[in-house]
Amino acid sequence: MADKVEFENVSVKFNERWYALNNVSFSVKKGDFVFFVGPTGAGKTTILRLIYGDIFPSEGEVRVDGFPLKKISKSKLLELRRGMGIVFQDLMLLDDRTVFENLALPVRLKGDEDVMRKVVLALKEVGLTHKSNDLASSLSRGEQQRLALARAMINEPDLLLADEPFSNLHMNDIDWLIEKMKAYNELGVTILLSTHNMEVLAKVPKARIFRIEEGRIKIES
Amino acid sequence: MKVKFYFEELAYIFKKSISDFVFLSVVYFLTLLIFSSLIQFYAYLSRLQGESFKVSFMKVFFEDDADPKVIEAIRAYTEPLPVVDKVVYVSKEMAKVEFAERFPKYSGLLSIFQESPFPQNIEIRFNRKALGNDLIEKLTEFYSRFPAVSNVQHNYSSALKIYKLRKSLFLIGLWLFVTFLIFYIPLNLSFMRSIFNRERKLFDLVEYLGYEKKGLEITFVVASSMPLVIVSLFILVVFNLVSEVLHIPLFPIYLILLFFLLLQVIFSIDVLEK
Repeated sequence: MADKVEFENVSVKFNERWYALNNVSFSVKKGDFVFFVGPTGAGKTTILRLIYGDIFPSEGEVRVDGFPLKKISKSKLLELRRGMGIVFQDLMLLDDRTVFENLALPVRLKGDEDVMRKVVLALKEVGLTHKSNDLASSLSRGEQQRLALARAMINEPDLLLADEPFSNLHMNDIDWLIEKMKAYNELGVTILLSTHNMEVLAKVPKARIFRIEEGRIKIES
Repeated sequence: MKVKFYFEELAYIFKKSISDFVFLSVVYFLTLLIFSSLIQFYAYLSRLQGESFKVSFMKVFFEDDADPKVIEAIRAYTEPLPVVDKVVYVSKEMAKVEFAERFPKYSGLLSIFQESPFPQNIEIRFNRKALGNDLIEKLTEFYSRFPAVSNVQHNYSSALKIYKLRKSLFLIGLWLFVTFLIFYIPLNLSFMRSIFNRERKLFDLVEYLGYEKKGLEITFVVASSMPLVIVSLFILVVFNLVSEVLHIPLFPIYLILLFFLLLQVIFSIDVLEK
């Protein structure tokens, strides 16, 4: 069975002199919980963007579920994305829509008729039921992060990518998010997240940790 | 993705940008009203000009003792002119008959004359090319200078006036249209961009969530064209009535509406591309 995510000698060059990633290889199995840690600009976000096919490697190959992203069709890439939940660094919430509408979007896109039930359940799960009719822009950062996580998970993906989900959050919110992600992981969801917050690593003892520096994996533990 | 999703998003785009759409609808309405009116007025003048032209002719009257060779020479010269449709020689007797036919009410008056009191003449009917460059006036002067010609008359004055008015209207309309487009294009594009920018994040998000954004792009094009379509239909109904009353074709109105609709679709696609 293919690994969930594989990087094989992957390099990403944004210009002639600067490598965002330099000859990176690793693989992630189904059900893994992975942290990418490192300073800002180390290449953590680039790794996540490569996984959901937002950018492609200059050299090497990225495979998701065994499919080389650079070689597959756009429709296949979109199909793979439908199996991923993504929490973006800037959250990408639709600020002028309500919490309910933000959560309903992936369900409506999927063509699921049971939008109401799914959204109500998701709202309950992230504790935002009372904010259902509030605009996403009116939420606190912690609530927005919960909403982004709920939107990523509402269609029950088996891979969750989260880019710096803990930045600008209070410790309580961080703990809540970590516990939630651990629970999803227990259910079999593969989780890959980037962070520069080293304190959270200890909260997931089973997690694999890749330390990224200057576009290279320095330590894997 | 289901059609329902696109309809909901269509409604959402309208809801969110309602003030922009209302403003654009007013702009579309005034634009189409002004240019459709100009076009219909132009078509109406064309109809009037055509009707007037149909009953217009020039008469070159000759002295009674004019040499038939001169008359024939003038006729032979006139007939092949590219602006001439038809040349007919009318003898004195034929002129009398012609008078009786054209003015049956006064035909009784003719009985007092032993001979036809009307001069022989040639009747010239011009084609539309003759309306330009004061050709009819020049030809009038030209024929008047012949010694055998007693008088030259024509009734093209109305057709000529309408022709000049039509020409002026065309130039004014063209100038207005070009000047208008200079303002309309950036204004419309700017509104389209502002409507699109409110949806930009959604477009990106849809792809990240694993769905084609093509359908959403089509929804945007439909949404941005819809106010114009509605205004166009209204204009079409109004001008359909006008064209029926004035007996003028509606075809040019279709053209102007299609032109603006095409422009709108191009603007929307341009905004999406950029």
